[in-house]
Amino acid sequence: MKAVINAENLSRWYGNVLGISEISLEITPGIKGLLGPNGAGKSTFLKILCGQLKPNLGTITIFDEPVFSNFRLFSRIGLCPEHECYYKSDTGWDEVLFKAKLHGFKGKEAAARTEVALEKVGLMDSKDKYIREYSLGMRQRLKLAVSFVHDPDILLLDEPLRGIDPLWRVKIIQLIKDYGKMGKTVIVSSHVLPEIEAMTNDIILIHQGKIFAQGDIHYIRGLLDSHPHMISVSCQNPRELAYLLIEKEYITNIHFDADSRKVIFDTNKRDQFFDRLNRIIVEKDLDISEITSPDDNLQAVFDYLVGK
Amino acid sequence: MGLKAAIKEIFSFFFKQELKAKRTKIFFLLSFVPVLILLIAKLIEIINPDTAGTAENVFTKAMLMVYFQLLIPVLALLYGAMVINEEVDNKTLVFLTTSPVPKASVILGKYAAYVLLANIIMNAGLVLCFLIINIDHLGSMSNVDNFFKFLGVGILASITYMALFTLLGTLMKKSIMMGIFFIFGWENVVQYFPGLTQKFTVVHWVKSLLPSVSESGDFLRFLVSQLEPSSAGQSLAVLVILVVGALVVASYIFQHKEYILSDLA
Repeated sequence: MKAVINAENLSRWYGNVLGISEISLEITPGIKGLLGPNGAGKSTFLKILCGQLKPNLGTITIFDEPVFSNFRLFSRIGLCPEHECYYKSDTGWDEVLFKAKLHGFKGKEAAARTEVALEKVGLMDSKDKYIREYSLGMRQRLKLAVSFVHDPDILLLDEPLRGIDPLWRVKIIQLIKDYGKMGKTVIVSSHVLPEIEAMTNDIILIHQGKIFAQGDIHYIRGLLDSHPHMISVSCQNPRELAYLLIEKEYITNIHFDADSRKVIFDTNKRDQFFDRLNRIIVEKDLDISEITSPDDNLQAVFDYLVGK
Repeated sequence: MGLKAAIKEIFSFFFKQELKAKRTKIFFLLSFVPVLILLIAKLIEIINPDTAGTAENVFTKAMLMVYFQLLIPVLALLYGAMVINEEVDNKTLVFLTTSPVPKASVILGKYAAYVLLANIIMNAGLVLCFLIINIDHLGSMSNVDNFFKFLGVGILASITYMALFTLLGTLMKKSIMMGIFFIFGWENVVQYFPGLTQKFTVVHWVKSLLPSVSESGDFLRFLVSQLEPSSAGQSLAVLVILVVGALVVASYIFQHKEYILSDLA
């Protein structure tokens, strides 16, 4: 699939402070999670992507066009910025309608698009209220409506779920996933790992202005051979299972859960461990009720990569 | 979207938005303070005929001076600086600059909206003041021509000042301080320097367009007190060049400058 966003050796400083350093990426359609702690450089990268900042070094192109000061490109890009961004004396309707008009939609079409966007984020009932009277979550949802009122090909979402209540969080996550399924490119930035995990497995880990890793979460997990994987097995006799596996050099640690029949293995060779485990289960006819990998999620990868 | 259509959308949005703003209501109220003062002076005149001419004196000796030397440049500064500074301070700039509109349309659309609004605020009060001093002889109002000349020059002055302050706002974040220095320092002092120096002020060209003392009579003398007025044609040309030049440069800067809206990311 052809990349829609190409970044080559992007670097950006704020005076002596590093924003991002030598970031090279090719982003194809689908949902990409841009993950990193606060100050990692996620927002700097998104600001360069949406033409708010110029890179000090390197180049960025979207649809093979340069971004900065290329206003026509913005008919294909939607941005939900991290910060509050609304006109105080506007209603929700005015704000979204104005954006639709700036995208060249007129009269009834602009109004129809505004209605659809507000409906999707559940703000039609509050459309005539002043934005300053909205709650934080409502303002966040309004920013999202503004970002996709023109049905862009690329959606850049900087911490899109901040302040949104749990019910709407689920709906917005689904909205973003649906957008990705339509073949659009969605880049979601967050430092809250479960948020990203709920939307996509395709992640870009960023820390201290550099890309640490990118790709499918399982692929990234596979890169971390030296980092022990934690695998939990629930069975009738966990001590017997531990006995059968303890001789293997790739088992680095074994814990027992006192309250339940569960043994937790730490291994630095996950594939070999599972091969052996499967064989033991068959040979010894063990009654296994559950096998899970509690740290096989973004949090584990992220914590390991950033050296927590 | 083309430049013209974008200017129209931005003008329309910001004009309506600013009409609803609290500060506009405050400016409107303040602009009616002179009307109230004149109304009182006129009432005194009507009650006590010995004080005839009081309202006209107040109007010409205080109001017009306040209008040209204070109200026009200060309102122009506040609105002109707001064109970009307000977007940066409220972090709403990203709303406009991530839309498919030429960046120049943001400058020109907002500028046009604020010029219109500032002139409505300034001139509504001024017209009312003029009507009040002529209320007892509306059929034979004196100095109507001169009043409209003053009004026209006032509008041109506000257009010029606002273009300059719009440019200042695109250049620096704290443009208000620089603008205050320009209005109360540079303009107020340098206009009285002899020779070429006075021509480096906006007020010199504005005053050169005002009716002369002989045309307007004693009551307007304070307004036209200038050392060496330039010709009307030259003055008009300079003011137009200033407006066009300031807006072109402001648009160019806005097109190429980065505005950092928040803390480091």
